[in-house]
Amino acid sequence: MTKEVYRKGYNMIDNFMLSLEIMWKGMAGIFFIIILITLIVMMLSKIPSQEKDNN
Amino acid sequence: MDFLVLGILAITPQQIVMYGIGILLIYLAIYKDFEPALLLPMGFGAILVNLPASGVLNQTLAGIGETHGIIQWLFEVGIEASEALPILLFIGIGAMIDFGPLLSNPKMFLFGAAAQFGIFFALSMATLLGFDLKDAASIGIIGAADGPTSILVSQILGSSYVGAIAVAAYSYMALVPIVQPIAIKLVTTKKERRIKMPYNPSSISKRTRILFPIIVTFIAGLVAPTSVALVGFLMFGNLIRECGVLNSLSDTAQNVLANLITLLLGITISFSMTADAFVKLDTLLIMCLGLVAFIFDTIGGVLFAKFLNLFLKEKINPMVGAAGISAFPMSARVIQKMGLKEDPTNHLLMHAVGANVSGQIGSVVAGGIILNLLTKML
Repeated sequence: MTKEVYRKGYNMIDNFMLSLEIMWKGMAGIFFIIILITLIVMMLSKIPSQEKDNN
Repeated sequence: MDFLVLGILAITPQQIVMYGIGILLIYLAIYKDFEPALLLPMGFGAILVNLPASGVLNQTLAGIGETHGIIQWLFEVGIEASEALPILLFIGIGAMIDFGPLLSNPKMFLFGAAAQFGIFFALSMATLLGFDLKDAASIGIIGAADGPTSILVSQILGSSYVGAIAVAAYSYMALVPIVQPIAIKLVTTKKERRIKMPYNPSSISKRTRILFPIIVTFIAGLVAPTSVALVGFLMFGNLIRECGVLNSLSDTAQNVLANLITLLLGITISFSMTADAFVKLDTLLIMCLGLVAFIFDTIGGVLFAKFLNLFLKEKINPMVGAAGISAFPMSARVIQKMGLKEDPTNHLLMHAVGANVSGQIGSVVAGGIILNLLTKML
């Protein structure tokens, strides 16, 4: 199965298989970015600050 | 005097259908309060662009040549050429969002990722229905529950269904109070819906609030460069809000800018609602797939919360996971209402708001990642 086939979009099953690849890569990518942001926010909140506000 | 009836005689059955759709959108906006700021301009625009030889579209007139129509010009300049309208709207959205409830409860970030599952599920379903990958991805992004992101991604991918996608995205955002409770009840038990979550927010420094939009821009921009326009402008708006020295600009972005762009965006997007582009079986399929995307976003968020509960001592009410979609603040309100219905002492609002604003970030990141993946694969 070559990328050329996907590109032309001739085959529904090929497109479906490619969509599954997009699904796992996409969800993994979103989680990667979000987890990275979460960790940095958690680290930031550990750094003491003089000026605080509540929400 | 034939010229007086030429317009009436030129009306096609498809255009009559579009008048009906236009009036329906106006009705939903005015009488049902379904996203009126967008659906009303779109509904009225749908009528404008479907009048025979409409002056809001470019026309070639005998003896004069080509004349320019305002809606077509707005579309070509504001969306087709630069995607300026949806992107500029993100400045206003960013300025409106208070990330405080999320920053004080960072684990809620995760639901903003999990509740994007519906995008990819709908994308796969669309390929099975015969849509090519670009159109399938454009349809899937309806699940971002974020109108500007849906318009931007489908426009960049060159989908011919931008109008239908915009209508679906905004319609289902308005239908969140109906769609989400059904989907949540499908995958939760009464006992799970009654889980109480104490709210003990940690205090947030001004430094964290200022650094947050800058850090998010760096991370999203470096990992998914195509998301920079979306994330960057969202975070730019938020930085204006949080910096504390641009209150006037923040106020303008939240009100004047957001209102002006919303007004123009609705009527501009109606350019893609001409009868020949809209009255198709595909439009119905897109509406169905949009619903699938919203349902599976909700289910994705709920199931992820249930998964986390396997490892957590302090359980999360799985309904909070459903608030990870970007439809803000409707989704958070729905979760609060459902929580109170199950147990009048169960207040989930602030947790749900945290997940909900995380969904704002998750949806734009998802849009950027889809663009990134597709441009590499195609």
